[in-house]
Amino acid sequence: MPRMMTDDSMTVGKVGTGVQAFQFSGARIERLGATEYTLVTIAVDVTGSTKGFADELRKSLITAVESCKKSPRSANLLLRVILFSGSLDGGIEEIHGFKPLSEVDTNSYPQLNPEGITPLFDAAFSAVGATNAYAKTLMYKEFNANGIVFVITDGDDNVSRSTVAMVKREMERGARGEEIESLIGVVVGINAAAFRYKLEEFAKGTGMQYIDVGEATKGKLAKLAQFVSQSVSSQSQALGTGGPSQNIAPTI
Amino acid sequence: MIRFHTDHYFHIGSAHYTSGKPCQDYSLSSASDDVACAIVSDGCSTGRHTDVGSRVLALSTMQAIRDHVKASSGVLNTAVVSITSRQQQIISTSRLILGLDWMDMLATCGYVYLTQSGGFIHVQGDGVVALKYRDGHIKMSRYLWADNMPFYPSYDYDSINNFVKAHGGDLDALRLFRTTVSTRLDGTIAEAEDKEFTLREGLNGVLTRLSLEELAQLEFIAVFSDGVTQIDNVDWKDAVTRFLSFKSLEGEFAKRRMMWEIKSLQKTSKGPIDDIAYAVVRIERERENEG
Repeated sequence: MPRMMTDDSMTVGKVGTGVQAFQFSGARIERLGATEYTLVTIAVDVTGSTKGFADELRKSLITAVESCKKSPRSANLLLRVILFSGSLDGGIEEIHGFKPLSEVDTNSYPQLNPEGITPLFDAAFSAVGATNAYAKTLMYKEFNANGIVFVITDGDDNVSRSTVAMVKREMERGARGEEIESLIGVVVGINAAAFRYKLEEFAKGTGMQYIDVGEATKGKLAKLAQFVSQSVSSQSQALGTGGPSQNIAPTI
Repeated sequence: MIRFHTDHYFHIGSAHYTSGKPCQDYSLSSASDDVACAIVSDGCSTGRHTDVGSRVLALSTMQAIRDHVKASSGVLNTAVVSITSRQQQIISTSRLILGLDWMDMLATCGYVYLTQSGGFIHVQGDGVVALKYRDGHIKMSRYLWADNMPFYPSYDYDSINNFVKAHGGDLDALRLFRTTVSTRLDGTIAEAEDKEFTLREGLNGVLTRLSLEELAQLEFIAVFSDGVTQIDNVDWKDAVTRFLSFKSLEGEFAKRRMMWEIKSLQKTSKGPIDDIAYAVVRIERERENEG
């Protein structure tokens, strides 16, 4: 199980079963006051191969979150950030669960210490599954909800307990619109030229989209932050229309 | 000590939506440590820009209540008289400043005004008032004018004379009807009572006073526009019950409830045919909060 960083204001949920189960946290529903929310998850690869650009990747993550805070829809966003690596307990570590952006303090985001191999499928399953599960709770309490998930990685899976089929099933639940109005999943490849084919195949097999950032330069990582915040804003504006945003850029 | 929470919502009905007309209902609410108010206003469909009129009326009523709070520190003895007088004054001034015709101002108004020492509900025109008790049962009253010709608080002296004539000219004639229904917890009707009001009484608006003891028994007080009585295939009593069945209470609790219910109704019917609005006060006893 991933390490949880929760307090009394958060509640804990679970996706999957047995050894394929992952915990997540989210703000207690009774604390939420708006009518609708877009659930945003950013999953960041902290495996050994990201060591060379870990600091820039952290900056990009922080920039993306701070940009989301400036969105006119910021009061309707709930953000979850997770790290994934085979070196982490259970492969996933939640920096924070779904919480209002006003409560997210990016200064407290830890320095990334890349090591270990890549539980990519676990990260995607945890991210998409938690989004569906938390959205179901919100919808039950009459909050409209949709979601967008970013899985940022530089390599192919080599250690997951979850499978492509499990991620696909969760993405399909999103597409049916019963538990969440719509769900967009984006696999973002960075410095991932060698794995591009594999990542495209993974995205295609699960119903997610693949976006290739290219090399992990300062400029490209800045563009990644911009892409994340724009895509979040676009998906949030689509809330209430019954479908996903049609404006997620196909390239960065 | 009690704590007040308020929320409100209004929604265009299918008749206005399909004919390209604006929503002529409006609602407002506000709560502070000592005072809460919830207001609905319903513009006359045969008036002119009554979508504007209903907003001006609701905002004028809100300002009149604020002025009363400032002037009286929440003492309610003469509140209705001073609020009505101030409401009229603000409406007249606003109408002139905005260049509106008196026909634009034809709208009903229902409001709740609560303080730490009690409160009241004042219905100027028609609509529905609902009290939901802590044990879950609901007492709801529907106000309906004869010939569906309600009183509008923006009427001036001449308009009132015409209104009285249109109702037959006899101030003692019974022209306003109230049906009050109390539901059991399962939604069935426990008791019903009808009351008639004279034209003279209707012109002043119908006042329901609420003592502090009564407030302590209540969880929600809501005022609805008459749109709640015009939902496709839904009886008004069921509609009221549904709109007060809150699943969560934080923030925009009333907005969430009505939006969700309307979406659900529209899956199988036209939903609200007329525009609909409600404003709700939630009454929280301090010890609940401490607990």
